[in-house]
Amino acid sequence: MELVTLHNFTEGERAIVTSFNAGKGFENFLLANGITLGTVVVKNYSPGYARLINLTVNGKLLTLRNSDFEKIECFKI
Amino acid sequence: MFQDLTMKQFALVGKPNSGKSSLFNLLTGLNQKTANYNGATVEKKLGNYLLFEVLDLPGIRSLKSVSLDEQISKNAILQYAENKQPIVFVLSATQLTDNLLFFTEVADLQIPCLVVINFKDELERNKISINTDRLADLLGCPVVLMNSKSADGLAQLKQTIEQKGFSTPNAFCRNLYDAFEEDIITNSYAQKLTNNLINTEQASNIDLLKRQKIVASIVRNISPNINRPNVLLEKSKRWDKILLHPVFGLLLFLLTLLVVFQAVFYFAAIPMDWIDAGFAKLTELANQYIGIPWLADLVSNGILPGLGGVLIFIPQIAILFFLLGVLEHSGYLSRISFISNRFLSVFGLSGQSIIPLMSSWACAIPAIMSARTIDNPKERMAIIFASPLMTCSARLPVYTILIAIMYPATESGFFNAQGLLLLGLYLIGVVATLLVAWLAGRRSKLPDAQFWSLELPVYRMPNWRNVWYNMYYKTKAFVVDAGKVIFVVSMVLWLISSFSPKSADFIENAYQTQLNENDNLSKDAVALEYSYAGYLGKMIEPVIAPLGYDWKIGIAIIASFAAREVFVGALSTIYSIGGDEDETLIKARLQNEINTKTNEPRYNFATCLSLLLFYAFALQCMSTVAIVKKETGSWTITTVQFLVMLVMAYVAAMLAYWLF
Repeated sequence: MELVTLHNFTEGERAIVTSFNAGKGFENFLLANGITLGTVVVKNYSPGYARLINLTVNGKLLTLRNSDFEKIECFKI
Repeated sequence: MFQDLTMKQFALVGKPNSGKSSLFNLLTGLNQKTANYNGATVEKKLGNYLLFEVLDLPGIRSLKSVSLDEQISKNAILQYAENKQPIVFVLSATQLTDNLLFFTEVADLQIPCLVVINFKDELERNKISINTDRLADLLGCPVVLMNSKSADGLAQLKQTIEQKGFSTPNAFCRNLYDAFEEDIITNSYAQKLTNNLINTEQASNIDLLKRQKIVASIVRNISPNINRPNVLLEKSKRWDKILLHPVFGLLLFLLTLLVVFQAVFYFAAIPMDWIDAGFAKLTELANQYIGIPWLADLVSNGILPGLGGVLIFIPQIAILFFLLGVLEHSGYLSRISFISNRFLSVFGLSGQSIIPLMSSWACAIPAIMSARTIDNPKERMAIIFASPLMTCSARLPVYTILIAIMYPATESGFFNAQGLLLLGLYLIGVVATLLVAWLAGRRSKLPDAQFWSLELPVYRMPNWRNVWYNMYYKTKAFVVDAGKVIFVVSMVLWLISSFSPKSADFIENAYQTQLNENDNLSKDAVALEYSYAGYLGKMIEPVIAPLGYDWKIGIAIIASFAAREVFVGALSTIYSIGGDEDETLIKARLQNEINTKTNEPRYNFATCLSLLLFYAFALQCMSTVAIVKKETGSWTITTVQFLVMLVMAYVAAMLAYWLF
C-alpha cells in the first residue's frame, strides 16, 4: 500500500483516508461532508475543465476543489 | 411561536436530499405557508397535518456545520432540544452510514425523535434489507421505513405520529461530554453546541472516532448486505460522463436553457389568450351590469385592466417554475454548478453561486436568501449585490408585452424571434450580473473562504408532487404579492388619472383647440393629459425624454418603482382611460398609441428596446431592496446597489434609443 494524496488518483481508484494536511477547520469541513479518518473514497469521472474532483463517499457523490483535494492523504486499496 | 407547547408540533430534520420536503408535501398537502423562524430571514415551510403543525427545516449536514443556512437549522434544532419538542428525523436509505452519523449528534441532544428511513424503493432496487425493529432498539426510538415519492409506508408513519410515538433516543457520545464537565445531569453537549464550544481538538477527535465506530457497528447489525452496489448511484456516474463532459455537457446545458425559455413562450400563448379574453369579457360585464357610473368606471378602467395586465402572465411564470423544478428535482441543477464552476471562477465566483443565480430567474428574494449557502463571505456579498440583475419573473410581463409589440407573432413554430429576443435579454442579465459580481468581489474587503464542496444528488425521475407544489406555491406567491400591490396602485392610478385640477370647461376648450391640429384626437386623451397623473408625468418628462419616453410611460415607471410587474398593469390602466373603449387588448392599445410630435407610433422599436433595457437593469423592487438591507445589514450597500443599477438602466436605455 502506498501513501498518496487523493490528487494522484485516477478514475475508479479506491482509497482509505488516513490524514489531513490542514487545520481543524478543514477537518470539520470534511466531517460535515462525511469524510473522516478511515473513510473509503472512490474517485469518479472528473473532467479537468471544472477544476473540481468528484468522489463517492459513504454512498453519495461529492465534489471538492482540486486545491482542497490535495490536502487529503490516503492509502490506495 | 414554537415555544408554545400547547400546540402539537414537530420538525422535519435531516441531511440535504434526504427527502424531507417530499415527506412534508405528503403530510401537509396544500395546507402550507412559509414561516420565519426565530426572526431569521430564511423562509421555512410550515404546514398542518391533522392537528399537528409541521416545520420543514432546511437540510443540514452536521451540527458542526458553519454555513449561515445550516446555522439557522442548527439553532432551530437546539431550540427544539431545549423545549423537548419532537422531531421526525429523515434518513436517506442509500446513505445510511452518513445520515446516521448526523443522527448520533442530534440524538445526543436528547430530543424526542421518530426516525424515517426514506427511499425504500431504492433499497428494494438494490436488494438491500434493513431490520427496522433492530434499528429501533439500537437507536432507542421508533423507525419507519417508507418511500415519500409513492407514499409507501405513509400509513405506518401517520399512525406512529398520531399515537405520539416519539421517544428520546439513546445517547451516543453525550456521556463523553458530560464526563468532561463532571456533570451527568446537565446535557453539556447541548450547552457546548449552543455556545459554539464543541470544536475543541480533544473533543472533536474523540467524538469523530467514537461516532464512526458506533455507526459502523449499528449498520453492520441491521443490514448484512448494506454494501451492495447502489444501482442509481452507478447509473448517475455513467450519466455524469455525458452530462459533465467538456463538450457534450456544455452543449446540453445551453440547449436546456434554450428549450426552457422557448417553452415559456410557446406553451403559454394559448392560456394567455384565454385569460386576456376572460378579462375583456369581465370588463364588458362590469360596464353592463354595475349601475353606478363611477364604480363601473373604476372597475372596468382601473381594477380589471391592472389585475388583468398581471394575471395574464400566470401561464408563463408557472411554466418557468415548473421547468426549474424539474431541473432541480432530477438532480441536473447540481451538475450545472459543476459545469459552471470554472467559468464562474473567472468572475471571482464558484459553482456554489449558480443556484442563487438561477433562482434569481424566478425571484431575487429567495436567491438573495439562498446566498447563505455560499461558504465564501466575499462571494456571498458579490451575489447579493449582483443577483437582482438576473431576469426575474417580475420582468417577464414587461418583456413579453414589449417584445410582442416589437415582433408581432407572425412566425409560427417552436423557435421564433420573440423567444430569441427573450433569451437575449436573459443573457444580458447574466452578463451584467457576472460583471457586477466581479467588480463587487474586487471592491469587497470581506475574507475569502478556505473550503468548498458540492454534493451531487443521484439522477432521479422528478417527484411530480414536489414539482407541482413548488410551481403552485411560487406562482401563488407571485400572484398574491403582486396582486396586492397592483390592486392598490391601479386604484390610485385610476384616481389620479380620472380627476383633474382643471375644470371640465377648460378641458373641453383644450380638446377643441387641439382637435384643429389632430383630427383623430380623443377627448379622453386630453382629459388624461390634464389629470393629476398627466401633470405628474409631465413633471418628470424632461428627465425621461432622452430615453424616448413620454409622460404616460413616466407615470408607469413611477408606479412600478415598488414592483416591476406593476408597469404593465399601470399602462393598462392609463391607456384604458385615455384610449378607445373598444380596444381591449393592452398590446393593441400600445401599438395604436401615437407620438403626437412625430406622428409615428409611440412604441416603436427604439422606445421598446430602451424600455426593455431600462427594466433589465433598474432595481425596481422594494422587496428586494428590503431583503438586501436585511441580509447585508448595511444601508450603504443597499443604496449603492440601487443607484448603480439605476445609472446602468438609464445609460443603457438612452444608448438604445439613440442608436436604434
